[in-house]
Amino acid sequence: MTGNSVLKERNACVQVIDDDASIRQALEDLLMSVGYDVRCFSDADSYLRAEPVEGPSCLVLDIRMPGLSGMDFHRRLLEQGASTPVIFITGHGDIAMGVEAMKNGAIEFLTKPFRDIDLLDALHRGLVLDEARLASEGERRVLMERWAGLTAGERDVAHRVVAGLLNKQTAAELELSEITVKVRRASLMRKMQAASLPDLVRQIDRLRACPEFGME
Amino acid sequence: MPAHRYSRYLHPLCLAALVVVIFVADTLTHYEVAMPVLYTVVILYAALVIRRGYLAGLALLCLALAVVSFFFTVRGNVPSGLINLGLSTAAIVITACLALKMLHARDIALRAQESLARVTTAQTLSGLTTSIVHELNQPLAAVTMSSQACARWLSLPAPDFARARMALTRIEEDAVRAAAILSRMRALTKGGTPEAKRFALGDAVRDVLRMMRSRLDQHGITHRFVEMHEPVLAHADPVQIQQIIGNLLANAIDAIRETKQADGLVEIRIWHEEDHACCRIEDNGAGIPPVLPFICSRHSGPASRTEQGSVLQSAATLSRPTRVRSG
Repeated sequence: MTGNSVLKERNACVQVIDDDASIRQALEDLLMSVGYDVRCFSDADSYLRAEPVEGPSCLVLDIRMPGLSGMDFHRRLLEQGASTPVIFITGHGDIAMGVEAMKNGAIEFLTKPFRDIDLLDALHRGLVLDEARLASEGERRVLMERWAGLTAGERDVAHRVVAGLLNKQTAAELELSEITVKVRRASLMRKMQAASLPDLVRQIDRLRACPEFGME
Repeated sequence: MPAHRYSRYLHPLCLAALVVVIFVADTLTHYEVAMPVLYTVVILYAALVIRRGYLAGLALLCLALAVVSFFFTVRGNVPSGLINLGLSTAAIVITACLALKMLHARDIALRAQESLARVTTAQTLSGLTTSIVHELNQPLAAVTMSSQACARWLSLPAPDFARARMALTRIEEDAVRAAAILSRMRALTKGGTPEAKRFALGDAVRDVLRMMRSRLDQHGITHRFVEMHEPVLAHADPVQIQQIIGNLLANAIDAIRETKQADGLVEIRIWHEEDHACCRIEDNGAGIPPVLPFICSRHSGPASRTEQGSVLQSAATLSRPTRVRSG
């Protein structure tokens, strides 16, 4: 799969939170032997205090930890809007626990000791997901920047064009001449780098999914 | 000990004497004196000392005696005698009913207490197991991962021997850690480090009997404790010895309960034999047929002869005696 090579080029980072030092060391070594960047933390707090990673990353969380449990920590991360993929590892997993973890969106729920291939498979899935998430976030950011470059008049035209109004109708609604509408339309298409009307519609749709877009 | 042998007949004799005294007094006094009311005292006394099954019978006997003595009484006013007889009968019946109710409630409370104790033990055990399993699982998981990492370092196109060696060192450390957990667990299940000391076996047995008393009484089991020498000294961990005696007594109670017989009997006998302190617990319940009493003996010599460690390590033997008491 090409995904794997892409991930390796971009130095995918695996972050491990486990309170047991020997588990941490063994996991770090295992993941390094496959070529991942690894960052280990002994508890949730030191993870939160650390610099966030740039590229795609995946979090390996021990369920049983002193203080905040892995499950509670995951829930808190979700509440804060963090969307890093999470793989749970536990010494004694029961079904209820596994079901809850998967419901909360965990990638995998592994019971120690596990086969390395199971962990690596799960990590790969998580990292591919995270990469896709990062890519779509990046695209959205670019779109937001382009949209911010439009004038207020061009945005008015854009909303109506996307809604399916003809130039004539748009001109009537905005009380402008049809020529002005045409000029603004051409300009906004250029600024948004939209090749066609369907392309623009797709872009505006994506923007509408952003919370920042609705606030204008 | 003769005192132990006769103590089980003491209460029935006192009861019988009381009944006779009331009967005679009732017959000799006038009809106007409501002597049969005193039978309630007999019933209340009996409720404390005899088994539930006999109480109803005793109450009926008291009623019958009250009626009989009514016919034998010669002095006094017959109508007042009849009224007195009616009142006494009511008092006896009411007292007997209340006493039976009380005994029943006490049985229920006892059973609840027992099952609670069992639940608590089970919970402690399961909690203990969970924590041990988790603790042991950590180094095992680390060993698994380190060996997988080691294999991967070696199978690289350019094998990294230094990293592989580090992984092997970690594996060794984790194996040692797992072994340490296991030996700690063994100490834990033994209930701490046993401490051998010299103690009076008789006192230890009496302690256990006090604790098991309510269970024995509940199933109507008589117990007899015979100290053939005074005092029998033993050298061991007293708590462990008491645990063993308690377990054997519990087994005896279960064996008697299985036969559902009325005259359950457990006999505990302790004596000296050369440099051993011996203890025998014998029951007349169902067992490995015909009856299997166990002997638990143990060194009572100087400390050097008794090994520190579990009971099994220190020369405790369970053997089947040649003389078997028939049930």
